[in-house]
Amino acid sequence: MTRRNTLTPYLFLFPAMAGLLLFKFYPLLNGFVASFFADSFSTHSKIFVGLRNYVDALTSSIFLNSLWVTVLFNLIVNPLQIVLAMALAMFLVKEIRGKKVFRTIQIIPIVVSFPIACILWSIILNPEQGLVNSLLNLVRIPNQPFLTDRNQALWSIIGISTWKGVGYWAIFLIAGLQQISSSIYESAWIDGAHGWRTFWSITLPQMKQPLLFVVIADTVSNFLIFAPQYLITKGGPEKSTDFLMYEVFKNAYEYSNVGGAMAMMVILIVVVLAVIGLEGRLLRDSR
Amino acid sequence: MKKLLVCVSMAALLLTSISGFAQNAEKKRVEVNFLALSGTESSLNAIVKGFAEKYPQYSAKLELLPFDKLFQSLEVRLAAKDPSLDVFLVDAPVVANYTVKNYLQPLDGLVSAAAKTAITESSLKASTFQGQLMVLPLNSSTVNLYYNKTIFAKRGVTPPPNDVDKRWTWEQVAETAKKLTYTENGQKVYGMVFEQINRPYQLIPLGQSAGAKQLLSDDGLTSKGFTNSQAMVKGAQFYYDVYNTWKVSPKIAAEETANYFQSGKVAMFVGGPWDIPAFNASKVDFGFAPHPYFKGGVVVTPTGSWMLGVSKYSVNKEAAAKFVQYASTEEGAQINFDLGGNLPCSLAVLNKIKTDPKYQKFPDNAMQLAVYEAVNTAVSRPMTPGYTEWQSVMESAYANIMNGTTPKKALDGAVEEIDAQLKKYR
Repeated sequence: MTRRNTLTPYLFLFPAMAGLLLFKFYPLLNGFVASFFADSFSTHSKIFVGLRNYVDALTSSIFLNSLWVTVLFNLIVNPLQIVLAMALAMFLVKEIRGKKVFRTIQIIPIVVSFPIACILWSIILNPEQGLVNSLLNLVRIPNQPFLTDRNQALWSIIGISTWKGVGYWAIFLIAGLQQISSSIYESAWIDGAHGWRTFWSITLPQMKQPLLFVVIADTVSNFLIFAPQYLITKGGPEKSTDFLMYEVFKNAYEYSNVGGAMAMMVILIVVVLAVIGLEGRLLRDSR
Repeated sequence: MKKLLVCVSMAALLLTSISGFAQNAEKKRVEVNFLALSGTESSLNAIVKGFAEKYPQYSAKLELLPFDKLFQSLEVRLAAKDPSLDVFLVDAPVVANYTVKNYLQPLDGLVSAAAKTAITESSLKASTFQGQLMVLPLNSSTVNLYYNKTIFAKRGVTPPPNDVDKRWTWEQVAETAKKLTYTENGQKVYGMVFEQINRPYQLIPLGQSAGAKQLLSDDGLTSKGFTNSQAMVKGAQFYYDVYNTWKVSPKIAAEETANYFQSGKVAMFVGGPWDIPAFNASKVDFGFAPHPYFKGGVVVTPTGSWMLGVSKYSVNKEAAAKFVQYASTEEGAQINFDLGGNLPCSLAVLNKIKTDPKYQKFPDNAMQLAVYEAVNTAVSRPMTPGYTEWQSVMESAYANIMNGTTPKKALDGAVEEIDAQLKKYR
């Protein structure tokens, strides 16, 4: 291979890598460095505080609650979204009547942006005059507080996120399902395997790659969720929806605590990386 | 023919030069970028227009954001030392906070000496921090009790009198609100609503009326024992009860409350005179009365409002200060009062209210009541460098109380969070 040929792939990679370095790694590095500093309001300068921001975060009941809410949300929402996305994908690859209608229904939550979806759902779930409460009243169930109750708010956000996410993740799984050769199913069918048996023995093992991608991408997006608590609940009631990203945002942009916010961000990244590592390992090991 | 061509060419050249010169003159205007609150554009646009007319060398451009987003945007842009921001609205209690964060350009030397004597003494005091003039007031504020005459008449209830000596107690308001909460033709009517739902500006006077004298320690850096005092809990209990015990208030966003009152869905509205122009436009038949207080307690009304500050990082500080001076102490003050209906800080405008017979008649006489409250019953919000943090946490605490958290639990939790944030100012 000539020198010119050796360089070619790097030249093609350069624009994307330059963008990544500039817009992802540089801010990350900047944030990491900022996490060791605090603002001095008397001298209008930054002072080095070592690990103090990390210690403050890890000993703060508010941060620990926020971490727990984020982890709890992810423990529920990720499996829920992936199971439903898989079911939807399997349903939509089948040759059924009205397939186009179902595909359109699947697309609607994808084309609506998350902030718009949040505002729509906050109207639909309004405790006073929301559509859902009107429907519940028809079957003699009293008005529910949904996003304004500490026991229902997190579940309501899980519902909104799932409505928004399932159709999107199903697209990747549909692509994966379409890659599985029909001859494998035919052979299994001749051997007498049906239903769940073909799902466990053929579909799932063949779907490892797309599933691994969906699991990781879904986890990242759900750990970094921001719109519902920012636009609807403001982290409440009683901090029941106070996700880490909102705590980071408040510290940075409301509380003038940029160093503390950066420390929280670094902790969040470490947690996300650990969870992704675990997920990747589990899926790879079960091959 | 040749001569004609030369003449036409000369004329065209001359016209082009003149228009180019005019364009250049237009371009030479220094433009001030002004970040303000959405909903106030009718008066602010008129101020911007008046400023450009009076000072041909300057112009101003208005940028608007809703209440919460305004504070966040200011934090982001000023912390990033954004040079494109020249003038911005500063909520009165955050003057200290913005000063310690180095967001504000001191105005001494940039505005005329006359500007300081053109405003009330109390507003000048609120504009000054550590001996320096940091801002100038756009307007002050007060809160009254508005009521829907049609609803009161329909239910046979006597409305509150517009008499400061016979002002209603919160207990009377609650009893009346219970009578005026009903459903008619499938439409629910609520007894009362606080305009600024969950915002401390309107809700801390409940605690102050119940006896809370201080909401923070003397140095402004400790809230425990003050913000969650027994009196503050009593005030918050009233807020809890209107939503959860008596259920006489709708659980809606602050932005929706004025519409609820205007459309006859709420009988009593605790709000400001700034709402009167919209009430008049909506044709709601309304009356007003002085701000209530707790039986046996102190009469306390909210006060303080928007100040105008010049950004420390503005590249047009001189023009920006000129705009601030115009809006606060010159013709802008009168425009703001005429179109915005806010309690002025300009002595000239206040003097006009006292002497002009127009302000003796309804609904403009609301301003007479506003002036009375400002002088006799108004109590400012707490002064602390950490007011932004205090306000943000308190808004969440009041939201929790509205949604059913017991007041003591909500306020005890709030002070822990506030004090953790105030530590950095020590």
